[in-house]
Amino acid sequence: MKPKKSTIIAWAICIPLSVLEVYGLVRAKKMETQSLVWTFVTFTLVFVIFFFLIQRRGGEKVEKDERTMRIANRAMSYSWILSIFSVTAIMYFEEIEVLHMAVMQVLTVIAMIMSFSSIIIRAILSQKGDVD
Amino acid sequence: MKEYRAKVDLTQGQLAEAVGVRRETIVFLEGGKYNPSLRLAHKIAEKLGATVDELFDFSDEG
Repeated sequence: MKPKKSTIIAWAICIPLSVLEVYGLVRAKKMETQSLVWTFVTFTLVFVIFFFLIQRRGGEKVEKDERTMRIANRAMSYSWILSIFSVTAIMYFEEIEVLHMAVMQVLTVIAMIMSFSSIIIRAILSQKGDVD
Repeated sequence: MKEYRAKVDLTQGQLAEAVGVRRETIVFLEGGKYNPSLRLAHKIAEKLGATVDELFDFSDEG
């Protein structure tokens, strides 16, 4: 099946941004705020474009229906809960002085957890077919 | 549901388009992996010329 024009455009934007993001992560090895800002911004962009791609895959006329909406909503809920747990864990480790993170570092970690977890949970639920 | 679809000579894609869902949803419905909303069940039943009870088994075992 020939890919849609929109899919090609989305990939064309997504791939360079991913490269930029990896570059940002490499530079952020010392957790410099500037590189973390870039990582944060590029990661969010990649996530948004990827989300757009997932919505449009398959080239079907109907892009979303009640099942896909139900799965997407549940994935977002689980992702949100996971993020809350992560923030709580970070705060706890900070409190017991195991971990020291700057605001920007926490934001980057949370952005990554939210993006990755929602994509992964959504993929798992889609594979399953339905949510209980 | 598959038998009823075959009776009216519709493909999964055609049925999906007729009731406004993705083809994957019809695949999961036929595989018994997805519980449709009442509205969708009614639409499919109407399209296939059957009743909701004939098409879907909503018992705990099903």
